[in-house]
Amino acid sequence: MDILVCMKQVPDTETKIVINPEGTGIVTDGIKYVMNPYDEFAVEEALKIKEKMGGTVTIVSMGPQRATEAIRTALAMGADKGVHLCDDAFEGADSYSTAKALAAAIKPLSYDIILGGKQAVDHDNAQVYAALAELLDISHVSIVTQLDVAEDGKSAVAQREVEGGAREVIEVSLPAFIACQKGLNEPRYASLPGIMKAKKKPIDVIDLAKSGLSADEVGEKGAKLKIRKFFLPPEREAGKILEGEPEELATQLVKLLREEAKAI
Amino acid sequence: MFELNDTHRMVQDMFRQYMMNEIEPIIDDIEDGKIPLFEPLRKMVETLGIRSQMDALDLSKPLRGDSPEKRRPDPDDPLQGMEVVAGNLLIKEMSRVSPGAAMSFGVCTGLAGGTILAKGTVEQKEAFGRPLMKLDKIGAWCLTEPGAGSDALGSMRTTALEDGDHYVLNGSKTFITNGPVADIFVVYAKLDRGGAGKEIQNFIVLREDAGLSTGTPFQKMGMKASQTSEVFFDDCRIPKDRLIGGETAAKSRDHVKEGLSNERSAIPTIALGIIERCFEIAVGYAKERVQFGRPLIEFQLIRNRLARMYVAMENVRNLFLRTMQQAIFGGQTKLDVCMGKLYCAEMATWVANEAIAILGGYGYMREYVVERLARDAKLLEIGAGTAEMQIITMGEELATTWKP
Repeated sequence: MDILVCMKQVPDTETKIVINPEGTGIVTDGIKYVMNPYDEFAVEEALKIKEKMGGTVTIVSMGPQRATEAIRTALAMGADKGVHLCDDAFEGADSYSTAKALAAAIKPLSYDIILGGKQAVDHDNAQVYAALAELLDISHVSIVTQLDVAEDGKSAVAQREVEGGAREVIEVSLPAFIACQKGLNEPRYASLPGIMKAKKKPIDVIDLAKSGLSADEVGEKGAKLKIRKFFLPPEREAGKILEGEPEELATQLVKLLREEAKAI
Repeated sequence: MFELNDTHRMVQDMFRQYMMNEIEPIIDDIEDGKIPLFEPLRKMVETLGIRSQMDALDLSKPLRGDSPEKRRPDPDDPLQGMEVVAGNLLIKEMSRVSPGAAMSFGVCTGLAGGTILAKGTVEQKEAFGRPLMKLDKIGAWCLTEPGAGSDALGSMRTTALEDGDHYVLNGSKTFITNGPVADIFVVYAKLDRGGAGKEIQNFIVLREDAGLSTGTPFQKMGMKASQTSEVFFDDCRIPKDRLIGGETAAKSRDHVKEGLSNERSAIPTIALGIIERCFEIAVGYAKERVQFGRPLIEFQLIRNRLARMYVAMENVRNLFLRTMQQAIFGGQTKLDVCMGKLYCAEMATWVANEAIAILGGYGYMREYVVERLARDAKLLEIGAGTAEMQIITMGEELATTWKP
């Protein structure tokens, strides 16, 4: 099996987000970046498929120079090689122009299945995989919590979460994109020998020229979406504590709900 | 100046992630004796791939650390000195969560396992050294005696009497880390061959050997993740092939000093783990905690404490890096070892106490971590040679070999 994993490097989930004064983005100074947690499930699943069926695991990531660290982490977990879309022209992308660039990097590769997280925890769009599957003209299954690839590698059965805690079981022909959800597996730690081997594994860097795309198809120029402003949700005001006898309290509460909160 | 490279940092991140996710949540249960420490440690060496590294060690050759020729620095080789750096980072990251766990691990692999790997015969390395490095067996390193602390060699009373093809050990050892749980004991004793002089040698004694017994675990101020006890030898007969290095072993007074030097070299590493974590917790708290309408970090008195803690942390970090550099490339002197031990141990205790001061009442509570690290830190000033012994050795060196 030729297995691809789409992976994004994102700010650590414990980062305290600060918006820059212009409101055009977040303050990135001092932020620690990690592999998107949902992509960790994708890497783990890819490695499990490889262990069972043989083949190679290739990590495909778009991001600035620093994203190499996250690719190396995946290689240290056991992936075989990396493809890094890295060019200033890719900066400021939305889901669509990201998918466009990923598709350009993936098209020349041989693949039987593509895995990725169900969303990246930075912008939380959860749209790249659907757009990418469309551009590659393959199926996708989203929010997958269980995956079984058929022995012949031609199809897979995936369980996905749907509203109300129910599960949907979907059989899909391969290649397809599988968007991974928490619960699918328990990602492994990179091991010491793994890290030492990762240093020697190849990472193919793809810039704009190598991608074969033009500057206005990718990044901010190729985006369909314009972010106008970043702002944090307003701080919650302190609650009110009413005091008195139950009957009095009920009257007060109704009054406040009606006149202040205008809820009834 | 030796610095951590990207690969080292990746190893550090991975160790930190592991300690915070897997060890921190159970550390109180370990300290309370509800979980035996070596269970999670065994899982750790398995998961992090340390076991497989130890399986791959070729024990028929001398360890590189023993060879007088150390490697030349090669800035283009990111894996150079990896075994030294990874070992130190593991101890440091463990010490951020539990210096006690780091100590037990270090005694098992570094002191007991390390002594056998460095001085043992190939058979001893395979039979006893490798299992200790993999944590298949737990090791203890027995030097200190009730009457022999700082004067460990001069006042040693444990003896090994030659008797046919056996040695018979008598005596007792105390403050032995891992004593209550160890399978393999590396024991220092005065070898008595019936003649005049008695030389100090070290021996491998096993838990199942008749005549070996261990005391009940001591109740200690700190390092509670690690168990400590007395070890007794009462006509304990061991076969002759348990003399470390075999009959032709060099007089092992040097072994002892080497063992102590290794133990001392680990102190900057443990100290840095303690200091980093205490400093991070203290700064975090000072930014969050509001009194008199301002976060604590706005107050000059708090800033004074934090600034001085930072100086200590960076000094200790530099000594940590320098110690690693010397372990890889050579050039370590007695002055270096004693300086690192003396300074880093004192700074670990001091920074941990400063952190408690900044956290106030919360700092005194178990939940806030710094009290555990502060209690553990104190041992760094006592074990592996007290502050006084470091100063005595340094004074001797300064008076004799040191040149400007």
